[in-house]
Amino acid sequence: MESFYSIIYYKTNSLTDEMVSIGLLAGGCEGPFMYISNARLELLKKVLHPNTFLSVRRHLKFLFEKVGKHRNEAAGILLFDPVYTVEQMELLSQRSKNAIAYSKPTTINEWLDAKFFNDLTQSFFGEIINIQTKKRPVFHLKWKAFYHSTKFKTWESDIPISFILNSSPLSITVDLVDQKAKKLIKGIDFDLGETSLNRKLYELELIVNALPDFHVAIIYPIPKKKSGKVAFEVINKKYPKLVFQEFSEFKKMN
Amino acid sequence: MRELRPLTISNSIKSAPSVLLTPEMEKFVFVQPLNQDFILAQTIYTLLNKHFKVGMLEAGMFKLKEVKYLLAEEPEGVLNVDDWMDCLWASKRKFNHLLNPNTLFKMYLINLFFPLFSTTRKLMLPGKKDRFVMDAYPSLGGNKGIQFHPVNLNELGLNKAEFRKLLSYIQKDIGHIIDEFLVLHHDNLYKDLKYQVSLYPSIRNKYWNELKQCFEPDFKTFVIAEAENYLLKL
Repeated sequence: MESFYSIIYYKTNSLTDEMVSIGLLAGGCEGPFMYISNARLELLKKVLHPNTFLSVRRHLKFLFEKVGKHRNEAAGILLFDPVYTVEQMELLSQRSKNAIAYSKPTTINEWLDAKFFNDLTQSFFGEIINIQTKKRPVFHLKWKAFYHSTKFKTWESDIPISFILNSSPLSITVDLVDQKAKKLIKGIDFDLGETSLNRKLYELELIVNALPDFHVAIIYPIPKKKSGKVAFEVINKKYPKLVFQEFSEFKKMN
Repeated sequence: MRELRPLTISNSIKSAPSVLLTPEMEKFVFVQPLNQDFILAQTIYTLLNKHFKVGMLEAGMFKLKEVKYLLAEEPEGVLNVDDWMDCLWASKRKFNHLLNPNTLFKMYLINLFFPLFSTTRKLMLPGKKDRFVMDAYPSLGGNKGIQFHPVNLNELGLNKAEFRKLLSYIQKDIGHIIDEFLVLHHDNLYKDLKYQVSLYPSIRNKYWNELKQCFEPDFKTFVIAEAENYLLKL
Protein backbone atom coordinates (compact mmCIF):
# COMPACT_ATOMS: atom_id res chain seq x y z
CA MET A 1 0.00 0.00 0.00
CA GLU A 2 1.21 3.44 -0.88
CA SER A 3 2.34 5.47 2.10
CA PHE A 4 1.32 9.06 2.51
CA TYR A 5 1.01 11.84 5.00
CA SER A 6 -1.72 14.38 5.51
CA ILE A 7 -1.51 17.46 7.68
CA ILE A 8 -4.32 18.07 10.17
CA TYR A 9 -5.41 21.68 10.37
CA TYR A 10 -7.78 23.55 12.57
CA LYS A 11 -9.76 26.41 11.05
CA THR A 12 -9.54 29.10 13.65
CA ASN A 13 -11.15 31.86 11.65
CA SER A 14 -13.15 31.47 8.47
CA LEU A 15 -13.25 35.23 8.07
CA THR A 16 -9.53 35.40 7.42
CA ASP A 17 -8.93 31.91 5.98
CA GLU A 18 -6.83 31.21 8.99
CA MET A 19 -5.76 27.64 9.63
CA VAL A 20 -3.37 26.24 12.20
CA SER A 21 -1.64 22.96 11.56
CA ILE A 22 -2.00 20.86 14.67
CA GLY A 23 -0.98 17.40 13.69
CA LEU A 24 0.12 14.87 11.16
CA LEU A 25 -1.46 11.65 10.00
CA ALA A 26 0.51 9.11 8.00
CA GLY A 27 -0.67 5.81 6.59
CA GLY A 28 0.68 2.84 4.66
CA CYS A 29 3.63 0.51 5.34
CA GLU A 30 3.88 0.06 9.11
CA GLY A 31 1.34 2.82 9.76
CA PRO A 32 -1.00 4.42 10.44
CA PHE A 33 0.70 6.94 12.66
CA MET A 34 -0.68 10.12 14.08
CA TYR A 35 0.99 12.99 15.83
CA ILE A 36 -0.56 15.90 17.72
CA SER A 37 1.58 18.90 18.46
CA ASN A 38 1.23 19.97 22.07
CA ALA A 39 2.68 23.41 21.41
CA ARG A 40 0.07 24.06 18.71
CA LEU A 41 -2.69 22.85 21.00
CA GLU A 42 -1.48 25.32 23.61
CA LEU A 43 -1.80 27.99 20.96
CA LEU A 44 -5.36 26.91 20.14
CA LYS A 45 -6.20 26.99 23.82
CA LYS A 46 -5.52 30.69 23.86
CA VAL A 47 -7.65 31.35 20.79
CA LEU A 48 -10.73 29.18 21.24
CA HIS A 49 -13.60 29.21 23.67
CA PRO A 50 -12.65 26.87 26.55
CA ASN A 51 -15.49 24.45 25.83
CA THR A 52 -14.70 24.35 22.13
CA PHE A 53 -11.08 23.69 22.91
CA LEU A 54 -12.08 20.91 25.27
CA SER A 55 -14.11 19.29 22.53
CA VAL A 56 -11.40 19.68 19.88
CA ARG A 57 -8.76 18.21 22.13
CA ARG A 58 -11.08 15.34 23.01
CA HIS A 59 -11.76 14.72 19.33
CA LEU A 60 -8.05 14.62 18.50
CA LYS A 61 -7.30 12.42 21.46
CA PHE A 62 -9.94 9.91 20.49
CA LEU A 63 -8.75 9.95 16.89
CA PHE A 64 -5.20 9.40 18.12
CA GLU A 65 -6.38 6.42 20.13
CA LYS A 66 -8.24 5.05 17.13
CA VAL A 67 -5.17 5.34 14.91
CA GLY A 68 -2.95 3.75 17.53
CA LYS A 69 -5.39 0.92 18.07
CA HIS A 70 -5.59 0.30 14.35
CA ARG A 71 -1.81 0.06 14.09
CA ASN A 72 -1.32 -2.17 17.09
CA GLU A 73 -4.24 -4.54 16.99
CA ALA A 74 -5.94 -4.85 13.65
CA ALA A 75 -2.94 -5.47 11.44
CA GLY A 76 -4.50 -8.61 10.02
CA ILE A 77 -7.55 -6.81 8.74
CA LEU A 78 -5.62 -4.12 6.89
CA LEU A 79 -5.75 -5.96 3.60
CA PHE A 80 -9.50 -6.24 3.53
CA ASP A 81 -10.58 -3.08 5.17
CA PRO A 82 -8.02 -0.35 4.67
CA VAL A 83 -9.24 2.61 6.69
CA TYR A 84 -6.29 4.95 6.40
CA THR A 85 -5.83 5.03 2.67
CA VAL A 86 -5.05 7.75 0.17
CA GLU A 87 -8.61 7.54 -1.11
CA GLN A 88 -10.09 7.99 2.33
CA MET A 89 -7.89 11.02 2.97
CA GLU A 90 -8.75 12.47 -0.44
CA LEU A 91 -12.39 12.26 0.55
CA LEU A 92 -11.75 13.79 3.93
CA SER A 93 -9.75 16.67 2.49
CA GLN A 94 -12.77 17.70 0.45
CA ARG A 95 -15.00 18.28 3.46
CA SER A 96 -15.22 22.04 3.36
CA LYS A 97 -17.45 22.50 6.35
CA ASN A 98 -15.20 20.80 8.84
CA ALA A 99 -13.31 22.88 11.36
CA ILE A 100 -10.79 20.08 11.61
CA ALA A 101 -9.46 19.88 8.07
CA TYR A 102 -7.11 17.39 6.46
CA SER A 103 -4.74 18.34 3.69
CA LYS A 104 -4.62 16.33 0.49
CA PRO A 105 -2.45 13.25 1.01
CA THR A 106 1.13 13.52 -0.16
CA THR A 107 3.04 10.39 -1.13
CA ILE A 108 6.06 9.42 0.93
CA ASN A 109 8.90 7.76 -0.98
CA GLU A 110 10.30 6.01 2.06
CA TRP A 111 9.46 3.03 4.16
CA LEU A 112 7.13 4.45 6.78
CA ASP A 113 7.96 3.19 10.23
CA ALA A 114 7.94 4.68 13.70
CA LYS A 115 11.44 6.11 13.32
CA PHE A 116 10.76 7.73 9.99
CA PHE A 117 7.47 9.14 11.25
CA ASN A 118 9.33 10.59 14.18
CA ASP A 119 11.76 12.31 11.81
CA LEU A 120 8.86 13.55 9.72
CA THR A 121 7.06 15.15 12.63
CA GLN A 122 10.37 16.62 13.73
CA SER A 123 10.86 18.31 10.40
CA PHE A 124 7.25 19.54 10.31
CA PHE A 125 6.74 20.76 13.84
CA GLY A 126 10.29 20.88 15.21
CA GLU A 127 9.13 19.63 18.54
CA ILE A 128 11.21 17.26 20.55
CA ILE A 129 8.98 14.58 21.94
CA ASN A 130 10.34 14.29 25.43
CA ILE A 131 9.67 10.95 26.97
CA GLN A 132 8.35 11.74 30.38
CA THR A 133 10.42 10.30 33.18
CA LYS A 134 8.37 8.11 35.39
CA LYS A 135 7.48 9.81 38.61
CA ARG A 136 8.77 8.06 41.69
CA PRO A 137 6.01 6.78 43.89
CA VAL A 138 5.87 8.62 47.18
CA PHE A 139 7.56 7.10 50.19
CA HIS A 140 4.48 6.18 52.20
CA LEU A 141 3.09 4.11 49.32
CA LYS A 142 6.36 2.27 48.81
CA TRP A 143 6.69 1.79 52.53
CA LYS A 144 3.15 0.52 52.91
CA ALA A 145 3.60 -1.94 50.06
CA PHE A 146 6.83 -3.12 51.63
CA TYR A 147 5.56 -3.74 55.15
CA HIS A 148 2.39 -5.37 53.85
CA SER A 149 4.49 -7.85 51.89
CA THR A 150 5.03 -11.45 52.94
CA LYS A 151 8.46 -10.59 54.38
CA PHE A 152 6.72 -9.40 57.52
CA LYS A 153 4.36 -12.32 57.95
CA THR A 154 5.35 -12.84 61.56
CA TRP A 155 4.76 -9.19 62.41
CA GLU A 156 1.43 -7.53 62.96
CA SER A 157 0.79 -4.50 60.79
CA ASP A 158 -1.37 -1.39 61.27
CA ILE A 159 -2.18 -2.13 64.89
CA PRO A 160 -3.74 0.60 67.08
CA ILE A 161 -1.92 1.27 70.35
CA SER A 162 -5.06 0.37 72.30
CA PHE A 163 -4.63 -3.20 71.06
CA ILE A 164 -1.10 -3.44 72.35
CA LEU A 165 -1.72 -1.62 75.58
CA ASN A 166 -5.17 -2.29 76.96
CA SER A 167 -5.10 0.66 79.33
CA SER A 168 -4.42 3.13 76.53
CA PRO A 169 -7.31 4.83 74.70
CA LEU A 170 -5.08 5.86 71.77
CA SER A 171 -6.27 4.74 68.37
CA ILE A 172 -3.01 5.74 66.58
CA THR A 173 -1.79 2.83 64.48
CA VAL A 174 1.73 1.49 64.45
CA ASP A 175 3.03 0.22 61.11
CA LEU A 176 4.69 -2.96 62.33
CA VAL A 177 4.67 -4.58 65.76
CA ASP A 178 6.26 -7.70 67.15
CA GLN A 179 4.66 -7.97 70.57
CA LYS A 180 6.74 -10.88 71.87
CA ALA A 181 10.09 -9.35 70.96
CA LYS A 182 8.76 -5.93 71.97
CA LYS A 183 9.77 -4.41 68.69
CA LEU A 184 7.99 -1.67 66.81
CA ILE A 185 8.66 -0.04 63.43
CA LYS A 186 7.25 3.20 62.01
CA GLY A 187 7.90 4.95 58.71
CA ILE A 188 8.26 8.72 58.56
CA ASP A 189 9.01 10.86 55.53
CA PHE A 190 10.70 14.04 56.74
CA ASP A 191 10.07 15.78 53.41
CA LEU A 192 6.34 15.92 54.05
CA GLY A 193 4.51 19.23 54.34
CA GLU A 194 4.66 21.00 57.68
CA THR A 195 1.24 19.97 59.00
CA SER A 196 1.49 16.32 57.95
CA LEU A 197 5.02 16.05 59.34
CA ASN A 198 3.99 17.62 62.63
CA ARG A 199 1.14 15.15 62.90
CA LYS A 200 3.51 12.24 62.28
CA LEU A 201 5.95 13.53 64.88
CA TYR A 202 3.18 14.03 67.39
CA GLU A 203 2.07 10.45 66.79
CA LEU A 204 5.66 9.33 67.31
CA GLU A 205 5.85 11.18 70.58
CA LEU A 206 2.63 9.56 71.80
CA ILE A 207 3.83 6.11 70.79
CA VAL A 208 7.20 6.55 72.51
CA ASN A 209 5.52 7.79 75.68
CA ALA A 210 2.83 5.10 75.68
CA LEU A 211 5.19 2.20 75.04
CA PRO A 212 8.44 3.02 76.83
CA ASP A 213 9.62 -0.59 77.05
CA PHE A 214 9.39 -1.18 73.29
CA HIS A 215 12.33 -1.06 70.94
CA VAL A 216 11.26 1.57 68.36
CA ALA A 217 12.78 1.81 64.90
CA ILE A 218 12.07 4.67 62.46
CA ILE A 219 12.34 4.01 58.74
CA TYR A 220 12.87 7.11 56.64
CA PRO A 221 13.87 8.05 53.07
CA ILE A 222 16.89 10.37 52.86
CA PRO A 223 15.41 13.85 53.26
CA LYS A 224 15.95 16.02 50.18
CA LYS A 225 14.36 19.26 51.23
CA LYS A 226 16.15 21.63 53.57
CA SER A 227 13.22 21.58 55.97
CA GLY A 228 13.29 17.78 55.93
CA LYS A 229 17.00 17.69 56.78
CA VAL A 230 16.49 20.09 59.67
CA ALA A 231 13.51 18.16 61.02
CA PHE A 232 15.50 14.93 60.81
CA GLU A 233 18.41 16.42 62.78
CA VAL A 234 16.07 17.72 65.47
CA ILE A 235 14.29 14.39 65.91
CA ASN A 236 17.58 12.49 65.90
CA LYS A 237 18.77 14.55 68.83
CA LYS A 238 15.44 14.51 70.61
CA TYR A 239 15.15 10.73 70.77
CA PRO A 240 18.63 9.26 71.25
CA LYS A 241 17.12 5.89 72.16
CA LEU A 242 15.36 5.36 68.84
CA VAL A 243 16.96 3.52 65.97
CA PHE A 244 16.87 5.44 62.71
CA GLN A 245 17.28 3.42 59.57
CA GLU A 246 17.22 4.50 55.95
CA PHE A 247 14.55 2.84 53.86
CA SER A 248 16.82 1.50 51.11
CA GLU A 249 19.19 -0.01 53.69
CA PHE A 250 16.29 -1.47 55.62
CA LYS A 251 15.06 -3.07 52.40
CA LYS A 252 18.45 -4.66 51.76
CA MET A 253 18.60 -6.10 55.25
CA ASN A 254 15.23 -7.75 55.01
CA MET B 1 -35.11 33.88 7.53
CA ARG B 2 -33.41 36.83 9.12
CA GLU B 3 -32.26 39.79 7.07
CA LEU B 4 -28.64 40.35 7.97
CA ARG B 5 -26.81 43.60 8.45
CA PRO B 6 -23.12 43.16 7.80
CA LEU B 7 -20.28 44.66 9.75
CA THR B 8 -17.87 43.38 7.15
CA ILE B 9 -17.76 40.87 4.34
CA SER B 10 -14.58 39.07 3.49
CA ASN B 11 -13.64 37.22 0.35
CA SER B 12 -11.60 34.10 0.74
CA ILE B 13 -8.30 33.85 -1.09
CA LYS B 14 -8.55 30.09 -1.13
CA SER B 15 -11.87 30.03 -2.94
CA ALA B 16 -13.72 29.11 0.22
CA PRO B 17 -17.16 30.72 0.58
CA SER B 18 -17.23 34.41 1.48
CA VAL B 19 -18.04 35.24 5.04
CA LEU B 20 -20.26 37.93 6.47
CA LEU B 21 -19.72 39.21 9.97
CA THR B 22 -22.70 40.76 11.71
CA PRO B 23 -22.39 43.53 14.31
CA GLU B 24 -23.09 40.85 16.93
CA MET B 25 -19.94 39.04 15.74
CA GLU B 26 -21.81 36.09 14.29
CA LYS B 27 -20.32 34.59 11.18
CA PHE B 28 -22.45 33.66 8.19
CA VAL B 29 -21.17 32.06 5.00
CA PHE B 30 -22.65 32.79 1.59
CA VAL B 31 -24.41 29.80 0.12
CA GLN B 32 -26.24 30.71 -3.08
CA PRO B 33 -28.51 33.32 -4.67
CA LEU B 34 -32.08 32.91 -3.55
CA ASN B 35 -34.91 32.13 -5.91
CA GLN B 36 -38.51 31.37 -5.21
CA ASP B 37 -37.94 27.64 -5.51
CA PHE B 38 -35.28 27.68 -2.91
CA ILE B 39 -37.16 29.94 -0.51
CA LEU B 40 -40.09 27.55 -0.46
CA ALA B 41 -37.85 24.51 -0.08
CA GLN B 42 -36.06 26.26 2.76
CA THR B 43 -39.40 27.08 4.41
CA ILE B 44 -40.54 23.46 4.23
CA TYR B 45 -37.20 22.29 5.57
CA THR B 46 -37.30 24.71 8.50
CA LEU B 47 -40.89 23.85 9.28
CA LEU B 48 -40.19 20.12 9.34
CA ASN B 49 -37.18 20.49 11.62
CA LYS B 50 -39.00 22.81 13.96
CA HIS B 51 -42.05 20.60 14.06
CA PHE B 52 -40.04 17.53 15.03
CA LYS B 53 -37.96 19.57 17.47
CA VAL B 54 -34.64 19.12 15.76
CA GLY B 55 -32.17 21.93 16.31
CA MET B 56 -30.76 23.61 13.26
CA LEU B 57 -28.35 26.38 12.43
CA GLU B 58 -29.76 29.74 11.56
CA ALA B 59 -30.17 30.83 7.96
CA GLY B 60 -29.88 34.44 6.93
CA MET B 61 -30.51 36.60 3.90
CA PHE B 62 -28.51 39.44 2.48
CA LYS B 63 -29.01 41.63 -0.55
CA LEU B 64 -25.80 42.25 -2.42
CA LYS B 65 -25.86 44.16 -5.73
CA GLU B 66 -29.59 43.61 -6.23
CA VAL B 67 -29.28 39.86 -5.70
CA LYS B 68 -30.60 38.19 -2.59
CA TYR B 69 -28.26 35.61 -1.13
CA LEU B 70 -28.84 32.81 1.28
CA LEU B 71 -26.38 32.70 4.15
CA ALA B 72 -25.83 30.04 6.75
CA GLU B 73 -24.58 30.51 10.25
CA GLU B 74 -21.13 29.14 10.84
CA PRO B 75 -20.35 28.60 14.51
CA GLU B 76 -16.85 27.96 15.76
CA GLY B 77 -15.55 24.44 15.34
CA VAL B 78 -18.48 22.92 13.47
CA LEU B 79 -17.96 19.42 12.07
CA ASN B 80 -19.65 17.19 9.52
CA VAL B 81 -21.22 14.08 10.97
CA ASP B 82 -19.86 11.06 9.12
CA ASP B 83 -18.41 7.65 9.74
CA TRP B 84 -14.90 9.10 10.07
CA MET B 85 -15.74 10.50 13.47
CA ASP B 86 -16.71 7.12 14.90
CA CYS B 87 -13.75 7.46 17.28
CA LEU B 88 -16.02 9.78 19.26
CA TRP B 89 -18.26 6.91 20.27
CA ALA B 90 -15.84 3.99 20.23
CA SER B 91 -16.78 3.17 23.82
CA LYS B 92 -19.65 3.96 26.14
CA ARG B 93 -17.45 6.36 28.08
CA LYS B 94 -16.67 8.32 24.92
CA PHE B 95 -20.28 8.12 23.78
CA ASN B 96 -21.31 9.89 26.97
CA HIS B 97 -19.69 13.05 25.63
CA LEU B 98 -22.50 13.35 23.09
CA LEU B 99 -25.36 15.53 24.21
CA ASN B 100 -28.20 14.42 21.98
CA PRO B 101 -27.67 11.16 20.11
CA ASN B 102 -31.47 10.76 20.07
CA THR B 103 -31.76 13.82 17.88
CA LEU B 104 -29.39 12.31 15.35
CA PHE B 105 -31.74 9.38 14.88
CA LYS B 106 -34.65 11.79 14.61
CA MET B 107 -32.82 13.57 11.78
CA TYR B 108 -32.58 10.30 9.90
CA LEU B 109 -36.27 9.66 10.53
CA ILE B 110 -37.11 13.02 8.95
CA ASN B 111 -34.98 12.05 5.96
CA LEU B 112 -36.82 8.76 5.77
CA PHE B 113 -40.34 10.13 6.14
CA PHE B 114 -39.81 13.24 4.01
CA PRO B 115 -37.40 12.26 1.24
CA LEU B 116 -37.74 15.59 -0.59
CA PHE B 117 -34.27 17.09 -0.60
CA SER B 118 -31.27 15.56 -2.31
CA THR B 119 -29.10 15.88 0.81
CA THR B 120 -29.44 17.42 4.21
CA ARG B 121 -26.30 17.90 6.20
CA LYS B 122 -25.96 16.82 9.80
CA LEU B 123 -23.44 18.74 11.81
CA MET B 124 -21.81 18.55 15.18
CA LEU B 125 -21.25 21.56 17.39
CA PRO B 126 -18.39 21.32 19.87
CA GLY B 127 -18.94 22.03 23.52
CA LYS B 128 -18.55 20.46 26.90
CA LYS B 129 -20.74 17.83 25.34
CA ASP B 130 -20.91 17.69 21.54
CA ARG B 131 -24.29 18.50 20.08
CA PHE B 132 -25.87 17.35 16.81
CA VAL B 133 -27.67 19.95 14.72
CA MET B 134 -29.04 20.19 11.19
CA ASP B 135 -27.40 22.50 8.72
CA ALA B 136 -29.20 25.76 8.01
CA TYR B 137 -30.34 24.82 4.53
CA PRO B 138 -31.09 21.73 2.43
CA SER B 139 -29.39 21.06 -0.85
CA LEU B 140 -31.62 20.50 -3.84
CA GLY B 141 -30.72 18.44 -6.86
CA GLY B 142 -30.26 20.79 -9.81
CA ASN B 143 -32.76 23.59 -10.26
CA LYS B 144 -35.80 21.38 -10.02
CA GLY B 145 -36.84 22.20 -6.49
CA ILE B 146 -37.96 19.48 -4.13
CA GLN B 147 -38.46 16.00 -5.48
CA PHE B 148 -40.10 13.06 -3.81
CA HIS B 149 -37.68 10.17 -3.97
CA PRO B 150 -38.13 7.38 -1.39
CA VAL B 151 -34.96 6.22 0.34
CA ASN B 152 -34.26 3.48 2.81
CA LEU B 153 -32.07 3.63 5.87
CA ASN B 154 -29.31 1.79 4.06
CA GLU B 155 -29.04 4.56 1.49
CA LEU B 156 -28.98 7.07 4.30
CA GLY B 157 -25.91 5.31 5.67
CA LEU B 158 -27.40 4.02 8.90
CA ASN B 159 -26.34 0.47 8.13
CA LYS B 160 -22.68 1.39 8.36
CA ALA B 161 -21.02 -0.34 11.29
CA GLU B 162 -20.01 3.00 12.78
CA PHE B 163 -23.59 4.30 13.01
CA ARG B 164 -24.97 0.97 14.12
CA LYS B 165 -22.54 1.13 17.00
CA LEU B 166 -23.68 4.64 17.91
CA LEU B 167 -27.36 3.71 17.79
CA SER B 168 -26.85 0.46 19.65
CA TYR B 169 -26.08 2.55 22.75
CA ILE B 170 -29.55 4.09 22.57
CA GLN B 171 -31.26 0.94 21.34
CA LYS B 172 -33.74 1.03 24.19
CA ASP B 173 -34.85 4.56 23.33
CA ILE B 174 -35.24 4.06 19.60
CA GLY B 175 -38.69 2.50 19.80
CA HIS B 176 -39.76 5.44 21.88
CA ILE B 177 -38.25 7.94 19.43
CA ILE B 178 -40.11 6.33 16.55
CA ASP B 179 -43.40 6.41 18.50
CA GLU B 180 -42.89 10.03 19.41
CA PHE B 181 -42.13 10.85 15.82
CA LEU B 182 -45.30 9.15 14.61
CA VAL B 183 -47.40 11.04 17.14
CA LEU B 184 -46.09 14.31 15.75
CA HIS B 185 -46.67 13.18 12.17
CA HIS B 186 -50.30 14.34 12.21
CA ASP B 187 -52.89 16.29 10.24
CA ASN B 188 -51.81 19.68 11.52
CA LEU B 189 -48.41 19.21 9.95
CA TYR B 190 -50.17 18.39 6.69
CA LYS B 191 -52.23 21.58 6.96
CA ASP B 192 -49.25 23.72 7.91
CA LEU B 193 -47.23 22.49 4.97
CA LYS B 194 -50.14 22.93 2.60
CA TYR B 195 -50.63 26.49 3.80
CA GLN B 196 -46.96 27.36 3.34
CA VAL B 197 -46.96 25.94 -0.17
CA SER B 198 -50.12 27.84 -1.08
CA LEU B 199 -48.31 31.13 -0.44
CA TYR B 200 -46.31 30.66 -3.65
CA PRO B 201 -48.96 30.51 -6.37
CA SER B 202 -46.65 30.03 -9.33
CA ILE B 203 -45.00 26.85 -8.05
CA ARG B 204 -47.54 25.60 -5.55
CA ASN B 205 -48.97 22.83 -7.71
CA LYS B 206 -45.59 21.42 -8.54
CA TYR B 207 -44.48 21.48 -4.92
CA TRP B 208 -47.67 20.14 -3.46
CA ASN B 209 -47.69 17.21 -5.85
CA GLU B 210 -44.30 16.17 -4.52
CA LEU B 211 -45.03 16.96 -0.91
CA LYS B 212 -48.37 15.21 -0.58
CA GLN B 213 -46.81 11.88 -1.50
CA CYS B 214 -45.13 11.89 1.90
CA PHE B 215 -48.58 11.67 3.50
CA GLU B 216 -49.93 8.80 1.44
CA PRO B 217 -50.89 5.86 3.67
CA ASP B 218 -48.98 3.34 1.53
CA PHE B 219 -45.79 5.29 1.80
CA LYS B 220 -46.23 5.82 5.52
CA THR B 221 -46.78 2.11 6.13
CA PHE B 222 -43.65 1.36 4.13
CA VAL B 223 -41.40 3.74 6.06
CA ILE B 224 -42.79 2.79 9.46
CA ALA B 225 -42.02 -0.82 8.63
CA GLU B 226 -38.55 0.23 7.48
CA ALA B 227 -37.83 2.04 10.76
CA GLU B 228 -39.17 -0.78 12.92
CA ASN B 229 -37.28 -3.33 10.91
CA TYR B 230 -34.09 -1.40 11.50
CA LEU B 231 -34.74 -1.40 15.22
CA LEU B 232 -35.25 -5.17 15.17
CA LYS B 233 -31.93 -5.79 13.42
CA LEU B 234 -29.94 -3.41 15.57
